[in-house]
Amino acid sequence: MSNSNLSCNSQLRDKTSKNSANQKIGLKCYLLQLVAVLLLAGYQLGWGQWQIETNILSLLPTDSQAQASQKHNMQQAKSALFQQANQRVLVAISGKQAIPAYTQLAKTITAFDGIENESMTAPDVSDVIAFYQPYRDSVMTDEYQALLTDPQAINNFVLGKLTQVSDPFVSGSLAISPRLNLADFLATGLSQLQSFETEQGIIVVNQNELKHYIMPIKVDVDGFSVKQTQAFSQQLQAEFQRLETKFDVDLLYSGVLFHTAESSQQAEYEMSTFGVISLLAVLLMILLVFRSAKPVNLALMVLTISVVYGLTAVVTLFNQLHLLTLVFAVTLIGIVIDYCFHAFVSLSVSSSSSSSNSNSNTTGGIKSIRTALCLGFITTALGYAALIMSPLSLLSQVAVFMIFGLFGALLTVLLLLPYFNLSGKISVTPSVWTLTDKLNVWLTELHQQRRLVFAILSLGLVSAIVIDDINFNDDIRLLNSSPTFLIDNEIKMAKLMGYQHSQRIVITADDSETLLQRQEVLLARLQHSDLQALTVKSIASLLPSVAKQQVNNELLKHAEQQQVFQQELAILGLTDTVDEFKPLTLDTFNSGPLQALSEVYIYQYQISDDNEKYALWIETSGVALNSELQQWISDQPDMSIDNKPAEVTAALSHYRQALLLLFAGAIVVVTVVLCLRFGLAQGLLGLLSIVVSAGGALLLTQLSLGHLNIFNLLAVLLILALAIDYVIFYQEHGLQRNTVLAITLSAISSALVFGVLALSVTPAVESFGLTVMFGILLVFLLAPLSAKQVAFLSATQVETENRGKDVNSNSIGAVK
Amino acid sequence: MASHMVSGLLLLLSMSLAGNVFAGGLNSGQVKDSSAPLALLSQFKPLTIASGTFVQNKYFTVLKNPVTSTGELYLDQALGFVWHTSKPIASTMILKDDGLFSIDHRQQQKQINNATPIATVLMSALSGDLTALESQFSLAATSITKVSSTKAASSNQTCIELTPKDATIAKVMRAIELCGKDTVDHLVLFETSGNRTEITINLTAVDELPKAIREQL
Repeated sequence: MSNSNLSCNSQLRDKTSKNSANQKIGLKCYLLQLVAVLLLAGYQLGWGQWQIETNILSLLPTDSQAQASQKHNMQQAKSALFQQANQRVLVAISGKQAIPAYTQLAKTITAFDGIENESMTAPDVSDVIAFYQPYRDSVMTDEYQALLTDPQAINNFVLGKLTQVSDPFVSGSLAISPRLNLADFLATGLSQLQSFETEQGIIVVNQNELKHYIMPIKVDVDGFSVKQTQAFSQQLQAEFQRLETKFDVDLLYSGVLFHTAESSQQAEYEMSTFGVISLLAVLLMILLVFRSAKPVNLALMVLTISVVYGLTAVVTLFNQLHLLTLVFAVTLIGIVIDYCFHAFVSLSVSSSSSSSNSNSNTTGGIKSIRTALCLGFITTALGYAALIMSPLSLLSQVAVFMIFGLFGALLTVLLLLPYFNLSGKISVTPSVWTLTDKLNVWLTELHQQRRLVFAILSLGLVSAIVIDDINFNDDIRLLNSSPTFLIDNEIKMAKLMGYQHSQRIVITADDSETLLQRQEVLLARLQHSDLQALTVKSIASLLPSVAKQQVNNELLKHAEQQQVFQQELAILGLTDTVDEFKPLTLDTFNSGPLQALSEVYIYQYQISDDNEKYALWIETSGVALNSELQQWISDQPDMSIDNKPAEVTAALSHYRQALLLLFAGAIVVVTVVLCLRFGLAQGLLGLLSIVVSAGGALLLTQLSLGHLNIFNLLAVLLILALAIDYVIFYQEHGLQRNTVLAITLSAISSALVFGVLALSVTPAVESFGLTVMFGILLVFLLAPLSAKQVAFLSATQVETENRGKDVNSNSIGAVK
Repeated sequence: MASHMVSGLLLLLSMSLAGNVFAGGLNSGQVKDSSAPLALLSQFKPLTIASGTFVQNKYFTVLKNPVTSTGELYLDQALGFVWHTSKPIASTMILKDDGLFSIDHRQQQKQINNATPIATVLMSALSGDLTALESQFSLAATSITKVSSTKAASSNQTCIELTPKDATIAKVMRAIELCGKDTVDHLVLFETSGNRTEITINLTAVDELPKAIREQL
């Protein structure tokens, strides 16, 4: 497809008098590749394997380093273990009628499709004891182990246990395990893993003297289905409201589900309103300026084609389309309209009989801007191309979308528009020309002062940067657009359930025994860490590795030989010998009464047909892991702390820095092109305009928002694209009225489009919009200043204008 | 779950406190109808501060002899409750605002979870919130002459049997029986496993708990 394009273009460049023949060929080529693209688009729409991605955490970069396979493995383990996290909702009910409300909710939920109540019933003590009976002499707690050398200690321990008012484990297991190691083990293990109190089988948390009844709910939602997520979210929230009113209780709920629903709804809403408002504003402006509907239709057509190109390219190359890409896609409108304005203005100028533009044939208008447009596109594409290499998929998606979209727009403007024979049909309203000329005059005056202007601005920029450091805040939580009440709910729920400082450490292994042994290594390390308030929850408290079980058994046998238990058994009047070792395996454990607990902590998954892997997680809470521990854990190839927000924040920071480097590269490329085309001095002037605009925009954004993030840098990329276009046109054509008009219209339309984005609730989008706004303002003022020559105004204008000032500026302009 | 027993125990203790204040309704020798326990409860007025001693015998089906222990108990409605075993081995159970704690003979303190049913029962008992007790237990009166191991009672004793309504508690505790003449001085916890615990209590009202105890609460 691209080959045929290149050959067509080279033919076109042969500027012979076969214009119409060329035009026909050009048109044919264009239509050919347009059809090809449309077919591809249709295929993707109908049979494509791509998905829409809504979760901002999916922007996590894919690492291309050597440890990729290990990381990949870990990522798979984490997603296998925690995929259900996306499906979990927690509800906490408090108030006088909390229990009836709870019961009502439980009943209603059974009627909902795809939603189920996940409250775990506590396992029956007698069932658990019966299950462990064959393994009674393979398990013990660390505290019990410490007693094994001293018969008196064992004695005291047993008596202490037996004189408790009530201990169901002791009662239930005394007959089968009179050494009470089993009772101790089970009581400790179960209380560690089921640390919540229960009332009538319901988990209860007592906080601030108020009882909260907790119901965990599992929602069977496909993470990728936005509609489904929203539907579940609405269904549940409606029910919660109902219960609150009916029973007069306080209902607190939390869950990833609600955030996804809200943020996707917000993104959809913004996409539709921003997109619609932008389009309407721009089209209205076209109507006002050109007094004709034709440009509107043409602009729409060009826009549609460019969007189709962009979208097709993204879904073909990425198999995925992130919602945020669509939000940034709005910016394509601004640049495409820029191309359109240049085309329309040049077409209307070529139709004017008194125009000094010598092109007499209908394609003349477009021809005059062809070089500038192509140059502009190439430079912009080169600038964006650097982004495609970015591991951050959002950046590469946006870059691909923009490049292919602009390419489509360029082709359409250059090859299709001339076909419509528009030269006689589009004209600019005279009053607009008058305004433009006034503007041109003002810009010319500014141009005279340009050294001063540049000096002041550059100085201002540098000193501002020195005084008030550019401050980047990469925290991904800033980019979360969830409404405050949802975030508050999460915080309240975390406090209620004791999830603050809660961290999960994931371990992977090829078999269950290695997995459990590695877990024990980790637990030992955590225990020796001197972190007093650290609580650890793991399945190890109920399922030791087979190796450990064997050690336990040996210890018991040895103690028996040393007659450690003799006294205690004698007092009770019982006899009992330590069993021969019998291992308790994971598979056996999973067929017992504690299977539900095991499912929570351990997961078996398949990488490929014959490659099975195991993964488990342990949870630490109470206090955050110190850096020493974190370092030790990251040194282990099979262990990893699961901390998505921190990972993503670190990644964002990393890629923000990479973006800055990419900017430097893009600017160098641009400068080289400008210098090659326009000479060193002009090239450097152009560079100065671009850099001061971008830098100034960032600075102003920091002054308004207080900090910058990666999305401000993304905006800078767009400013660069627009700046390049403006600078090239000004340098190519000078301060001509058509150039000024086209660029002014473009700047206004871009301001309309991005001004709207600055109103977004998503901080990322708001940052982006604000920076572009500032950037457009600056580049609009600075780009003309980089032009070499000032406008030679048309004779018509000199006749119609009667201001002395104009004459003066004309003469000055001519001198320059 | 260990504290389900404690809840029952504390419930009964509070009942015994009531008995101290309660003067007239319970006549020995009379058969009480089913409204009597409620009537008894309705005249229940807990003591604010009390202390005393207990003797506990645990009968395990697998052991020939019961496991006997003795100790002291302290009660202060405002502060909490302390159950201290001194023989054969020292251990303490403390209930205070923060929750239920157990201290073993090596002075190691642990918080006991799953204590809410007990906490509820205890608090309702101590605060005289009988509706909560009624919500947790079904009450039935029995007036069988009970020959307790520590008191050879020649006259009839009134006994009330409490059956837990909560299924989770019922899995462990089958019933609680409390008996007494003017006061509740004997209680039995029947476990589903077939084991039972018999406790004899001797409690009197005091003005103030000992300083050492108050500091623990």
